[in-house]
Parts: sequence; C-alpha cells; structure tokens
Amino acid sequence: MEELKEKLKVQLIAQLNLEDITPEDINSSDPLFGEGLGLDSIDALEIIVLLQKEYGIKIEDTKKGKEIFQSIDTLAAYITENRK
Amino acid sequence: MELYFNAASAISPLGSFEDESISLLFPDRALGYFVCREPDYKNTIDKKLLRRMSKFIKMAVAGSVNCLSEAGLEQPDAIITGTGLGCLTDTIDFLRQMNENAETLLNPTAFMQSTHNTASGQIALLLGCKNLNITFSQKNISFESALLHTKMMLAGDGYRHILVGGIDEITPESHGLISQTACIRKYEWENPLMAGEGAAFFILSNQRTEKTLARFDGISIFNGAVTDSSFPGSFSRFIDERIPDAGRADLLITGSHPSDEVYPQLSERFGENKILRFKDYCGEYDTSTSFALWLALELISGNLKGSRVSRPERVLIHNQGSGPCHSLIKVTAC
Repeated sequence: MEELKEKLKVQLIAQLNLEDITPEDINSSDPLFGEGLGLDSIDALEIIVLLQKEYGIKIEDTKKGKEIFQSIDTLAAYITENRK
Repeated sequence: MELYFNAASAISPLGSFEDESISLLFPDRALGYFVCREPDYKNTIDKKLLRRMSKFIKMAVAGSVNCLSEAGLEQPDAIITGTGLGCLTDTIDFLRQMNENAETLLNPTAFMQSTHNTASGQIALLLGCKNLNITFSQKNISFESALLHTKMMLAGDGYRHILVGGIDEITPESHGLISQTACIRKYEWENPLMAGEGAAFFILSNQRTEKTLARFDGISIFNGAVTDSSFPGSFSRFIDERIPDAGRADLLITGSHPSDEVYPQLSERFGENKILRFKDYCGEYDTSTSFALWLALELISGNLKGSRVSRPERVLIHNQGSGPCHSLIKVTAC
C-alpha cells in the first residue's frame, strides 16, 4: 500500500503539473481538494482519466468521487479494492 | 475620430517587458527558429493557474496584464486577439492522446485549452472581465483583422480602451511541419527567413492620455496581386492609395524580404536606410505584425538600444506573409 501511495503522488504531480511540489511535500492523509493541495474540478476530471488509464478503474457513481478523492490514503485504498 | 496607442507590451525573441532594456540585436539562429525570451511568469500569474497554462496562454496572459498595468487600467472595454494557429502545444497534446488512446481517455485540460479563443478567454477570466472577448484567426492577417475590428469598435458608442493583441507559438513539432510546407518563403540569402513566435498587446483608445505612445493613423489589408511587372512602381503607388501620407513615413518596418517581388519598389521609394526588416528579429509567424507594431512604438518612444533609427516621427508597417495578403499600418508620434 505504501508503495502505491508514493507512486500515486508521483503520478498526480505529473498529471496535474503541480509545479514546485515533490512527493515529500504531500502528506498521504491531507485533503487533495480545497485545502491541502488545493485541487479543483478540472483536476478531478484529470484524476478520473488517470485511474482509468493507469489502473483500469472506471468510476461509475460520480457521487462517490468526493469520498474517493479525499486524500492519497483514500485513493490508494479504492485502487487496491477495485484494481483490475 | 483619432485613436491612440496608450500602452504596448511584448514577449519576443528580443526579450520581454520584464527586461530593464531591450536591444535591437539579431537573436540566436542556432535552433533553426526563433523562440521568445520569456519573463518569469510567476511574477504576473498565480502559481495555481500557471500550472495548467501552455506557453501560448502564459505569453498572452502575462503580456495582457502588463499592458493593462502600463496603461493604468484595471479592465479593458473589450479583449480582441489574433492568432494564426492558436494553442499549438495543447492541440498537439490533445491529438497525440487521441491517437495513442484510440480516441478514449482524453485529458480535459489539453482539450479545453486547444481552442483558438483560449487566450482571450483566459485573459478575461483572470481579469474578471465580463466585456466582449473575441479571437480572429485569419492566417497571416489575424492580428490585422483584430486591429481593424478594434478600430471599428472604438468608432462606436460605449468603447474607450480596448486590449488588442497577437499571439502565436512555435513548438519543435510545429516547426517540423511548417518546414515541410510553403508557409515560410525560402530564400538564398545571408539571413534566410526563419519561423518564430511572439505575443504583443496594446491598449488602443479613442482618448489621448499622458501615457499615449503614438497616434494610430490607419490600417489596410489587401488580398491578391498588387504588383504589375508592366507597371513599374505599382505597389509604391498602391500604398499611397491605401493610407494617406503613407509614403511620407520616416521609417518603413517591413516583413518583406529583398527577394520579394515588391521589395525593390519599397527600397526605391523609401531608401534602404529607412527600411527595417522586422522578421530578422522575430521570425515569420502569422501574427508577426503585432511585433512590428510594438517595434514601431518602442522606436518612436526611444526605448530600444542599438537601433540605427533614432525616434522616427511617422512609421509605416508593411507585412507580407507566404500568401498573397499584404497589410499596412501607420502610426505617428504625438
């Protein structure tokens, strides 16, 4: 799980072009949206594409997105449970 | 109605608004095309917004913000831009994804920002400007079309200060494609024409202020054969018909090259010492006339170092792209 979290941090930085941020700057339990990394709705779309492309996970119920995208911890947990 | 350029701001291969002074020196040709010497965008654009912007959008937004600041304006009455090829980096990125992912799993950012109006839209968003924003894309008269539209709007009611600009970017991929086409005229010459890029923005106003750089005397765009080999001097006469007093300019800034059909007539009319070939400094791109206009305003204001021309009064700008289109713009110191 820890390895997956570190990989996710690297992937998010690359996909969302988070300039001047390193994986060490991201705390796995910090919120991704609003506070913390301060991501927005376009980033959410980018993460949906990332999950589908890299992990074969399609989020069917968009209402669950808020829960899944809460932090690196919740993202990694969802990927572990649903990875194909 | 008299119109005035009250501010100008550019990012070009010569440098940007951030440089303390800009010298009129030939840029490095080693790359095979000219690239801009860009400012540190973090000084102008929020870091969170910056991460999503391509060079095209960064140049447009930073150039606009600086231009408004130079004019002492918070909001323009309209934002009018010209671009020939638009956001190439995002367009190439989006098309590559379509190809690699079999038209699925496309990233939204590249898609959203691949449209030509992205620059005007992003400028408006950043400024919170709810006035008109529009983009003209007419190949190598894109900027001229934007400027002509701006002129007409200022003649109407309700407009005083309009932000108008031209932007085009070059990427290794687009340069590769351009090189294979007839987009860039090829010459056997000491300094062959090379592709380039740049962004230049202006505040055109129907009110003269203490910041006014020059008066805008007129613009003319014409398409089709403008020379007649059996009628020597036809192009030179044509200029006079299009813009009154154009032939009395102290300086001609032209995008023509000595190998072009019209150049000998320009040379005979103005004399070589009154001609400045602007594409030696910015390269060939669809909105390069915006660079030429910026150059004219900088020369009139005496801001450029190393220029053999000192503070001309009347400047005529002429451009000719790869097609049959010519354009003329005239500005006068005031």
